[in-house]
Amino acid sequence: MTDATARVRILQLYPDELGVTGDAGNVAVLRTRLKVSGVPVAVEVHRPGETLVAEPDLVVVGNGPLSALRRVHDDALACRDLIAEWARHVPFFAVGAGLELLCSRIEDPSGVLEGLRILPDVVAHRGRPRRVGYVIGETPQGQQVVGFEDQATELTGVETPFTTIVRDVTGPVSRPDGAQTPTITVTLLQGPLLPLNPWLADRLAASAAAHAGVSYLPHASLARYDSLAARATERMRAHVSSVFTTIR
Amino acid sequence: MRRFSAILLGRLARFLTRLRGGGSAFPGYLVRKAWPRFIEDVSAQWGHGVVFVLGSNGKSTTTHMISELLRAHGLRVFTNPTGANLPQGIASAMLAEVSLAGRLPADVAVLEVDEAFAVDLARLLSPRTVLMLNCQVDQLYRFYETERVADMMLDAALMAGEHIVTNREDPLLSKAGDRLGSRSVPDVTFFGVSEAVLAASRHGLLNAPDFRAGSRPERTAALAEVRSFGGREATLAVAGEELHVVLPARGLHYALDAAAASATARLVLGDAFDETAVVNAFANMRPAYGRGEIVPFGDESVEFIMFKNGPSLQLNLDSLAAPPRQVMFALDEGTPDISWIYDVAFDALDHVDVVTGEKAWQVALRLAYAGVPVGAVEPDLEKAIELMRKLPAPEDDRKLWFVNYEQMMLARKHLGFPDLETRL
Repeated sequence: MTDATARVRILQLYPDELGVTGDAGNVAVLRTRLKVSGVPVAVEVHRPGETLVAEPDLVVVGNGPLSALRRVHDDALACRDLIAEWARHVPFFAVGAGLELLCSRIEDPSGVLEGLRILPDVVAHRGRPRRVGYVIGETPQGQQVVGFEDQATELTGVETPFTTIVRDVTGPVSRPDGAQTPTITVTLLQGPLLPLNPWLADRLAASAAAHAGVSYLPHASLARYDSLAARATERMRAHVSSVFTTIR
Repeated sequence: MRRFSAILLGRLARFLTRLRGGGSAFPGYLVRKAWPRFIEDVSAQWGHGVVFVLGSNGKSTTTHMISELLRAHGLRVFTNPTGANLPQGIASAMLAEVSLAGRLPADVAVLEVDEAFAVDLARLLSPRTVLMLNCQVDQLYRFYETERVADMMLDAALMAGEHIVTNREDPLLSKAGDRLGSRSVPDVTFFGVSEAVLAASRHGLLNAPDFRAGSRPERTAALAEVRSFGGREATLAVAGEELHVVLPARGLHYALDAAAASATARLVLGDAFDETAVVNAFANMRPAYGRGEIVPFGDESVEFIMFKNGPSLQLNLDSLAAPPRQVMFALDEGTPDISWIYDVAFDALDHVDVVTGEKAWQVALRLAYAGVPVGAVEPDLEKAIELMRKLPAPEDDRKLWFVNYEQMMLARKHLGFPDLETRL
């Protein structure tokens, strides 16, 4: 269903299956920020078996277990050509299993799943050592990312990571997270990420607005969310090494 | 003689750890070192066997309900405190009641069991009945995938000597029978909620979906079913008889726990199951520790509502008939991953007075996006409690404190109720 008054259309793929880590929160934050800033926005969802129609201004895919990925797999492959066409110029934001779905393939100890090849050179390797806890990352542009990770996936074939994790539960580290292309932002970090990192929400909102042919200027009143986010991530940074020391 | 000294040793250790303050699994470890078959030997004495209670949410409440229903029929019940649901903890709990001769006078044991240890404990305790309450998205940082939790519970259930009791409305756990193949033992019994009650609920029961299987099994008959529900009152149909019960706390989840407990008690007791005794037992039940429990707060009182994940928070919010007048929300790093807080609908609240705990700012951020006004954010629990104390007493209401387990323990300590969770 398309809302005729909306200027920006956000499409969330498979919200029931890939939406286990507060992924609805990422979408809600984008909607709020656009709306408060005077950009009419509509959120649409795509469920297995439904038909994809009009090109959206932003595609969001969330996280879920491998069983959920298998569940949506046939439908995703059936939509592959259209999604790949969109990905040339529509901004994408994907987290966890949503990221894996966009890779060329997903290797798991139980077998190999074909991916959508939106990131044609990237392979997701599941079943690697598990990482759980708060993390701090730095993007190539120098922005700081604070989130929570709970994943056992490694990516190969990434040209530009979304961010470099500089601190996790084990202390100072240097390891890549996710991938970044001119249109695609994918990460293994949750939290969810967008409320905690408003600069990233604004970057995605601006890309979506630009795709829709409108401009996005974050309204001053959003500062009340952002000061809460600053306090929240300040605490997370302080607790990064203490919340988890080991995981069974 | 060796058993005598094993128990003596364990009891001494228990005395010393309790002097130090707090419970401990160490005495249980010690007694099992000296008497390796302590759990197996002592549990073999119980004539009605052992009941396991498994599930993502509601284990403590339902364990308490089953224990009270069986006691109302004259049975002597051994049960374990919530913290003690691993092997050493259960051994410690048994130590508290066992005689030096190794006798633990009980007719039946009702034990809540951690999902991850359910199979190990089933080997030790050979449960006659295994009850599975629900499988919800819970502690992903610990279990990674919800299906794994379901498998842990289903694997333990298959080890039941006589009965599996399971939730008809749970997509994963309702399929217990599929795993039995041609086996006729244990038998599978269901509890559930009528379709009308389910349709009237705000967000349903929030059980995890089954992404593995295709079609849902046909809706089978349940031994105990919630037929109507409102606040703390529910009508349960148990083996065809309608019972009007008063629940120990508000909410559809408590009504469903009551159905689960009634079905389980019916199987343990057989024809001795007496409807009047059941109704009376529910009427006299106190809420389990921190689950709708009311604690004095100066001249006022506080109702503790404990949550540990999205489904338990949502079900408790859904149980509110009107927005509460005074609310504190306390969440700390004892709950490491709170991504799910963005999947919870907060429309049952029109405000929160104080948000506290180490994660207070994360919660305040979520509430801001949910459009719920927040009075104050005070990460320090003691200071937050003082802010709540300064609020005028709500007229026809009490102060509601939504807490995770760790914050509840701290809050109780601060209110002067530092007691550990014990058997009720």
